[in-house]
Amino acid sequence: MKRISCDSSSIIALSSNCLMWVLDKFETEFIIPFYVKKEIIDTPLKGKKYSFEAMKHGLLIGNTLKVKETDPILRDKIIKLSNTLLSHKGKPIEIIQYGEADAIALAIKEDVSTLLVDEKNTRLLIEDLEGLKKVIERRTGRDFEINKTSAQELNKLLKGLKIIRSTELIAVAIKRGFFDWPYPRADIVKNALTALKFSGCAISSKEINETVDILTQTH
Amino acid sequence: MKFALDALNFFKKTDTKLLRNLSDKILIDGFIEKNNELINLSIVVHSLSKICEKDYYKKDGVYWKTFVDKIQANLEEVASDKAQVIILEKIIVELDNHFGRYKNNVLHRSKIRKGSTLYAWGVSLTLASQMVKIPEIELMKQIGRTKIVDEEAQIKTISERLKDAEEIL
Repeated sequence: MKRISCDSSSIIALSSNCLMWVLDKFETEFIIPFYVKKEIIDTPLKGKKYSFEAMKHGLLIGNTLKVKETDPILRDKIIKLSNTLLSHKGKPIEIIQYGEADAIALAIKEDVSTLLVDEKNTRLLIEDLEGLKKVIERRTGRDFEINKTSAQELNKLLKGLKIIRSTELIAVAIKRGFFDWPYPRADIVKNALTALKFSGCAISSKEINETVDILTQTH
Repeated sequence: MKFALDALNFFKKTDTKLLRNLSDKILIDGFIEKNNELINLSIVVHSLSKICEKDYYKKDGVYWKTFVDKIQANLEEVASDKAQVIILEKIIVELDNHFGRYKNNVLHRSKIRKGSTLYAWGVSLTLASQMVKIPEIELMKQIGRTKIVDEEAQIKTISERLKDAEEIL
């Protein structure tokens, strides 16, 4: 069975739009590490505002979402390498924490090639380290250096990992006819992807339009 | 903490623009130095800029004067490392409580804004959420309202991403 390691950002975006049912339509297993479970269930359960949301997530465990043990040594290595990757005047900056690192470590440990992640910085870390440096420099107005040893080791670890977002997942679901709704396909795609963008999925308006075009052409 | 004196100076002048710029400057230092107190001060300074903008905070003149005095005195204390930023946070929350705002107060909104800024700068969502002590879901909602992603370069084409998704799903 095909498997995808999921980050909390995608689960939050899908769940905020009542779209978690879509995961059950695919013949793919969606796995999460302990820290992602903590972020979407255990921590919000302790508060008032999002505890009901957390309970709904809790019902998905064991069915839609499978919790798998990660490799803590590998996770800590990813955190260490990522947080020594960029430095300003010799001081390394912290860019990642347990949640995202755990989802990456789980993918590597379980030999899963794809990560479902909606937040942009983990995606940049995996796909474009130089791009991540440029973003930080442009937005903070400071210069940063890349630690070549960390970059090489990270590249080696993360090589071959593919990223998809909740928007690609929903686009494929629409393409396969899972949304049997009485509206034009282009409108369903555009509105669903826009809703996910408003829920924090890192997709640009241009990319949404491109997705609409592609899915409308193939219909 | 030298920034607290700058904050005091700009707060006295009720210069919202300088307060907002200072808040960003403090956040950059807090991020680079991994200094939570600086990140907290950046949030407080952002809240002060928002408070100075709103006239309704000044409607109760007596309470406003007390608030201003407390903020000024405690900014001086923070500047000389005799107090922690949490005191300033409490004073700001009390101000909103006085006007009947208990949950979605100005400090809470500043935390979300600063968390979103950290995310825009390249900090992961989980870490940004921990740095400003705001649930990820609230940060994501704020991020969704911004142009952060629209302003960044596209690494892979949509066709490539859809192909990857179709292969695994």
